[in-house]
Amino acid sequence: MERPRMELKMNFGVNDRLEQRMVLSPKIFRTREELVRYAEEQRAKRKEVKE
Amino acid sequence: MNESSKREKQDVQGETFESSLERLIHASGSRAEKVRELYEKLSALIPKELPHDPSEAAEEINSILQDPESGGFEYEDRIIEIEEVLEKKRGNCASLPLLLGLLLKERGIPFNLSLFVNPKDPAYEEEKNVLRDIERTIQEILNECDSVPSLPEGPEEVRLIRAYPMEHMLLSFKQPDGELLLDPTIEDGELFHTEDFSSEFRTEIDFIKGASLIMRERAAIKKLSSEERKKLLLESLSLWPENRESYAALMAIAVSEFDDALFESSKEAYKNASKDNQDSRYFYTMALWEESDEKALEYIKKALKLYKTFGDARAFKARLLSKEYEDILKEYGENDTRAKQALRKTQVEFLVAAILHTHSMHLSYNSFLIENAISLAKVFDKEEIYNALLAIPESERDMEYHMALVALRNSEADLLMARKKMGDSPSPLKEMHWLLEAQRLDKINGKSYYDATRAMKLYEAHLQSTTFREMRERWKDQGWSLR
Repeated sequence: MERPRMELKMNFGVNDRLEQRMVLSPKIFRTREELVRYAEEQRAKRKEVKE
Repeated sequence: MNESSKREKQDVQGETFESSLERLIHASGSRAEKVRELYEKLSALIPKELPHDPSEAAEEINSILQDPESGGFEYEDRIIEIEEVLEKKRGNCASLPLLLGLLLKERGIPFNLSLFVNPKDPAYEEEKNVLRDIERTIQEILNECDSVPSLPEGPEEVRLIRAYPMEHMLLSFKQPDGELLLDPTIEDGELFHTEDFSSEFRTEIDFIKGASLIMRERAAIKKLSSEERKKLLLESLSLWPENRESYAALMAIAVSEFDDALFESSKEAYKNASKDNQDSRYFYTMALWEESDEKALEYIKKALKLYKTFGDARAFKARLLSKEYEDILKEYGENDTRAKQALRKTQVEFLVAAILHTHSMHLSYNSFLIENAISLAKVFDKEEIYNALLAIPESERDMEYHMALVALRNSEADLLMARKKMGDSPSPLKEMHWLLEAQRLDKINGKSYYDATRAMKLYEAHLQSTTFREMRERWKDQGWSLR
């Protein structure tokens, strides 16, 4: 059976992304409304970047 | 207390306002003069008269920071260095609490800093709903069509969940009747009670540890060479030897450079730093570097028991299940019930992981496809996976993307693109992987992209490394030879 550590070593990009995930949690929310508003803003920003 | 004695007041670690400001400037790699100039301007906005109670004073200063008419500070995830924070008036959950902390220290106002793993806020609650919906939909389709639904076509437009146990920094204030928390990234900017907030793990930190976290974030976010990144991570650990995730980052670098000593010492230190903190993040990291599949699966199960919607842990579990499926397939053939059951179990696990990624604010569905392309192609329709990869925009096509296409389609054009994306100073692991695939494709296409001299050089340079030798055995099984 292949070993995951070997698989991970081969899958070198995962290593790069692991480092990317060392960052702290970007934001927490007090209410669901605040969460939805933030998610909508992010959607609009992504749309803007695309356009 | 006069203004100057407030600035010289030491906290429990003996840190003054001045020493904390210097630490933050150093950890940020910022220009001291510029930071001081911008900081003084900001500090001048705070009124001399503040509420006597430290938590109320902090709430008032925070409201000035957040007020568009005065401070105008807003949350932005990748802004971490103090100079950039002050200049752009933006910051994340590490840089904003530390800035607020500085303003409090300058005024001699006592506070504490805490680091939370996997904050359980409305985004966390939303994850439970998303998982329930995913499981219900899969079950309904299985009941109706007796087949697993297709993978999602792309990420959701509105993403409400994290699906990753991230860390979060808050300020806290001891009160006679409990404790109040303050988070400068929350829009209302108001104090809230500890009882209204929970997480998987909490640890108390101080300004020195905060500076260590800033260094780790810089190592993660900034475009740096591997040497620069290692230097920052080691420096972050010199400030705070239990800054656990710095060891996780060092392990990943160590493997890509076949550096046994760094890998083993970082793994040991990671375990020691986790003695009191065996959260889902710990179990996931242990699974990643575990050599036995069985033990890795045990770790992953522990991670998922603590955090069901942990997207990466779900994907890793699916990869382990896909290996089990391959073994069963080899032994019993595809028509055997055991093989059919193992296939379905793997498909469902991948599907849950995929959908969690599409809903996540922080994880990327395209990265999920790239990272898992080879395993996905074994359990879903290969053409469907290939087409999903082709739909990934140019800007997200990294070396690994092209290597996935090389593996799936033996594509010479992607082999060349992968070499281009690899850059001038790839890690030895990346380069060896490219050479291995080049040699395999040359045999099929009758070309000569494989550079035997370069492969020999890498081989000789890393022959003493156990990490390299383990990999060489695996490559040998795939038909690799130096010439």
